[in-house]
Amino acid sequence: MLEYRSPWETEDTDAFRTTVRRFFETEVAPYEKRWAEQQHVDKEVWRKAGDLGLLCTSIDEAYGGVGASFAHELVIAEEQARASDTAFGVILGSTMAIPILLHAATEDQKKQWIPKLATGEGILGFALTEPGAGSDAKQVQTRAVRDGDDYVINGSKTFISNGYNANLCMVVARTLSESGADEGLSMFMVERETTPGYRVGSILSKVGQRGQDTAELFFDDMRVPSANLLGRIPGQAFAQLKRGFLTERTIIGLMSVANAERAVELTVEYTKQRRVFGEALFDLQNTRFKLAECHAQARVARVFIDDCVVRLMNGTMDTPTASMAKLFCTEMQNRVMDECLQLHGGYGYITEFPIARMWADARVQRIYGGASEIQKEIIARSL
Amino acid sequence: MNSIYGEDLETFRDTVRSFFERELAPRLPYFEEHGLDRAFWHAAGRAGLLGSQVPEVHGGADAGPLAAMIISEELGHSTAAGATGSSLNADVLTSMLVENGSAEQHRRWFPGILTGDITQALAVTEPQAGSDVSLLRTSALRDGDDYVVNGSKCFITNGAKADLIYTVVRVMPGAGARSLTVLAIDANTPGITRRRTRTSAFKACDTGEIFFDDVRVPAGDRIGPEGGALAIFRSIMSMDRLQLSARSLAAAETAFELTLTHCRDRRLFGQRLIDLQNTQFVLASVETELKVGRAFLDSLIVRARDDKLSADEGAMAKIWLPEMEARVMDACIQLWGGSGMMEEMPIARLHAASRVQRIYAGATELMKAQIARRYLEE
Repeated sequence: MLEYRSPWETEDTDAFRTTVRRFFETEVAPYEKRWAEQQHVDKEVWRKAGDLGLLCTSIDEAYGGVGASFAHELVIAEEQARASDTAFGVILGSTMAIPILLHAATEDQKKQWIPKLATGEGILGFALTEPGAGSDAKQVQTRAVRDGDDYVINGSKTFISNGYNANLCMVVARTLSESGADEGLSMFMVERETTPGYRVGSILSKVGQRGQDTAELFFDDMRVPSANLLGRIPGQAFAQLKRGFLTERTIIGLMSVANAERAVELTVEYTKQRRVFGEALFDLQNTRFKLAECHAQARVARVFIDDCVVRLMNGTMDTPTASMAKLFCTEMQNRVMDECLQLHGGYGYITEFPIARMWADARVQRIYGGASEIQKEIIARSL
Repeated sequence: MNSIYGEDLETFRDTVRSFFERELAPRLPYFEEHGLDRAFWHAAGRAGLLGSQVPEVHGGADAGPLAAMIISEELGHSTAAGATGSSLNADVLTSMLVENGSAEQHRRWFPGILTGDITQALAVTEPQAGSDVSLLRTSALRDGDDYVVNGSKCFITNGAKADLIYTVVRVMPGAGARSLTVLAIDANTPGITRRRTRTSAFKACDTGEIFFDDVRVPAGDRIGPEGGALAIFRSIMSMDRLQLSARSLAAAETAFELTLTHCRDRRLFGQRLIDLQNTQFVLASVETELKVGRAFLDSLIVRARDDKLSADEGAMAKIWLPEMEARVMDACIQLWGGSGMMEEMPIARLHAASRVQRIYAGATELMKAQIARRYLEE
């Protein structure tokens, strides 16, 4: 295959990649089956990641981060895809929730929470979605009513990544003042261990990404200090969230591309050793042509996503382009997964084979992080 | 409903549907953990779901091949029944026995097949041999009145528990297609070990790995002549493919119905999901595909009823209908958003089960290769 190097890669990221690859090979891959069966990662993996500098990698050292470039985070995302892992929810934090925290929080708040997230002692959840509020996020019903120095929060959230393990959770709720005035949607940081009324519901049994601990959360008269309102001004949640969307959408796009590339790689390997009708499966024209199509699609998407990543890093990324990145790459990933699964025949349907899991894991990429339909609407607005 | 099947078979459909609701759905968690049990098979027998093609003289309904099509459609329609994989498609094996078995074999096995005392499986696939049956290695050495069988099979529907395993073996010394032979092996024969393979989509199916270690099979348990396996399959493959295609269509139709209801119920951005143009257009495309698929399937059902279904037509059905099902499932599941990613949701089950339709019982590629052979003739 043509050697390709992303424009954002450096010698530094090369060295880091070796460390990250080893981490996924030794601390993640061997536990894949166990985590899929119990539907959550073992907490220890967060600490181990923290020890190696895989958490808060691009966050300023002043807050306990590693102080490396954003490109280092991309290496983590890519190596996770290469390991066919979707259980360890590191990317959500580092590329979406923590950047939001960095923009939304006061200095004190950043110093209070980010160091814990960097060591892995703090595991972050991000609670926006509710049963009645998915694509239409403004329909959030969870309420935070001011009561003296606290807010009393009632409501529930669903589909929360890392929901079972998270001990620090960013919760989006509709704030009401002591007099009952609607102050709009705000974000709170809730420390699970010291907050009665925070209840983790079931881990949701998902079609794919089965090792990822996606859960329901319930807040029953949960008292949260007003000091935990991110930014200390109510009604800022959507402005704060917007900061995370560009990064989140671009990174999901990158994950798609890395996964698609890995699927093609695995399928070339498989079809070259599988014998059928007197030759290698790879030698049949249909196989070659399908793989050629997949490889071409993944390559075009790679060049596009790398361009997006560079824009993100130099501050020139815009809203419609981030939406295009998410829409295009996730849909390409799903098409490629389907073809690659087919070329594995019956084995493509057996979960021991990575391609079977990668296919199941891919489907939700077109739904979470803003469904394809939402991305299309955003793009259309720019036309 | 103006059905191609006619009134009698539609009455049978009601029987099948209520059987699944009554006997399968309530016990589904148990079946998913343990597979199907004898009590279930007996109940299926009492309800008339087994051996629909068994001739009347042996106590069967002699219902012709379309009863099995009804069962397949209902397997596609019911997500609980769908979890049994194609365990309940055993009628294609019974018809193989009807066409190719001896009178003595008929007397021996039909009664048990009808009651559920004899469940069946077809064991062809081996780890190194899927699409390419020339790679089959399980061997049968003639020794007096017996064959001694050695080898292994994998991914066998019902294989973990079936009483009668129609096993494709290579009679030695032999090579090539002319040595492939079907032996009906009693699962209680010494030398057989079996393991249940847990699958994610067909949890209630007793998918099995089967190991044969010097297993003695009486020559009287051979189905058809030595070397007859491929000819036997040719005689049943078209119907097998049509049945699976019918299942794909029924599953797709069910997905559409569930999704339409969901889109009418789900509210967002101050309106119902169905009020958004994208939703309407997606569903309209889906319904159009279903209509085309139903017309195609119905035309083949008419040919099957008159025993005129060709191998190529069966192959075409198996290409087009599962691929249409995949397009429909993908479009429908998207409209459920995050909830469609939850394993227990019917749409998630329908979607997960659909993927294997393009692979098992002859992958799409094999179907295309078969059709293309005609182009190379003359």
